[in-house]
Amino acid sequence: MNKDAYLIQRLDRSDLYKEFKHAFRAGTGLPLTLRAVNFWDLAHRGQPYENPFCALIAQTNRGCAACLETEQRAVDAAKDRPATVRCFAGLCHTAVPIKLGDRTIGFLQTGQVALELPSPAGFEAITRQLTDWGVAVDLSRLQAAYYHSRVLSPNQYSGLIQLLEIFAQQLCLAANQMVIQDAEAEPPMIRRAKAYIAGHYGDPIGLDDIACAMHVSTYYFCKMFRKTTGLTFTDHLGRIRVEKAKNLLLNPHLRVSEIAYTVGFQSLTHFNRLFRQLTGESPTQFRDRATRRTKGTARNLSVRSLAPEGPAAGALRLAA
Amino acid sequence: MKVFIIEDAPQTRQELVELLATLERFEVVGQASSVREALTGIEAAAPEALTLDISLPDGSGVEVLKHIRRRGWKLSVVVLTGNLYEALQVKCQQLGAVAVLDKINGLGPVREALLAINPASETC
Repeated sequence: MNKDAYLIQRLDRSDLYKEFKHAFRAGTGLPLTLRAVNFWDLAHRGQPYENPFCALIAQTNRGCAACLETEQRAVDAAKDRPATVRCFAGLCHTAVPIKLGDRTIGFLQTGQVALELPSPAGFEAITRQLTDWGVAVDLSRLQAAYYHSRVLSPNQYSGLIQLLEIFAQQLCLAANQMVIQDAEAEPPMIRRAKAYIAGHYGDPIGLDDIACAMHVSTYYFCKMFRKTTGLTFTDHLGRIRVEKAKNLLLNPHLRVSEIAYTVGFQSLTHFNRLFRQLTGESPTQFRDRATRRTKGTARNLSVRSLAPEGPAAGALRLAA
Repeated sequence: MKVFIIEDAPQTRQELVELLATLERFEVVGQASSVREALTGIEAAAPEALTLDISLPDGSGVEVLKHIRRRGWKLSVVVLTGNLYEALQVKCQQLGAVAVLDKINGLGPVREALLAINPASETC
């Protein structure tokens, strides 16, 4: 299991989530599931408040595939904000992203709800689709389940999704706290190695040197570092150097090459390549964008006539 | 502007009434929850705009649109459906609907569509 999936599993077991899930299900009559990014089964299968109509459809192979495809569409569309999609039966399915920094680590999923009252025409369209797929299902049971589907008004449903979005932010904070706790709980050797890197990133740091300083073999150090941080030693060092470089790039008096060597890169080409790889833009583009933003902030602040003390002062000086 | 609401779900109908009550130049002059009620209600109330649900217990809102067109009534129609697909959108637009909206997005877009209606330019 990868780290994100493990984090979602821990959130799923947390009291915060359990209490919310219980209250949400009881209050709305809708299912709620918290899942990692990759999934291989239906979100609400066998869960409390699963729509009986959906449960019947999911018993068939073709129906199950259609439901999975709908859930996948919702998840694909929910990159930064909640997304709602509709299945072949007209029921809504929503995914709300859980983010750790700028990375999506999982989704809150709810739905199996109609925004229209069930109608004979609606059921006819469903049976037509099932016939096209060659799906054999007990139609009288399906019809009874269809007419008992939960129906919400557009405002009720969008209100629920808003509540989920707010709760998702709570989960994001909880996930962040877990990550921080984990970082603090990492093996002393790794903590010392990270502290060493933070203090010496500008010098050439060899893997053998740092392993030797930690009194372990290079192989063991690499293995432990990777296992604990999820990154190789070289990747971690590269990231630290790029982060330091980003700070220095805000100073317009420093040349890019000067910054590259200051933060420990031995070659400008390597610096440019890694910077682009990690930030999606070149150092120069980053500097231009940051400078424009700083100038904009400075302009706004001067319009509002803020005193030149506090955090704004630096921005104003930079823009000058 | 006089508005007639056609929607079979009572909760959604109530939300539309509340929405229109917040808009200054709009007044709800009637409500219907089926195609039959809609056709008689529109004739009696003579509205200038409609919010029209598609899935109704005795037929489709598209039938209402067709009827309006046949009778030559000058109305701005905002379609609001809980099951929007492309062919339906095209059909409603061909029949003169000023907006075809999905209930998935809540009632915010309905408000915007109603406010965008120019009283002098009914389309149906």
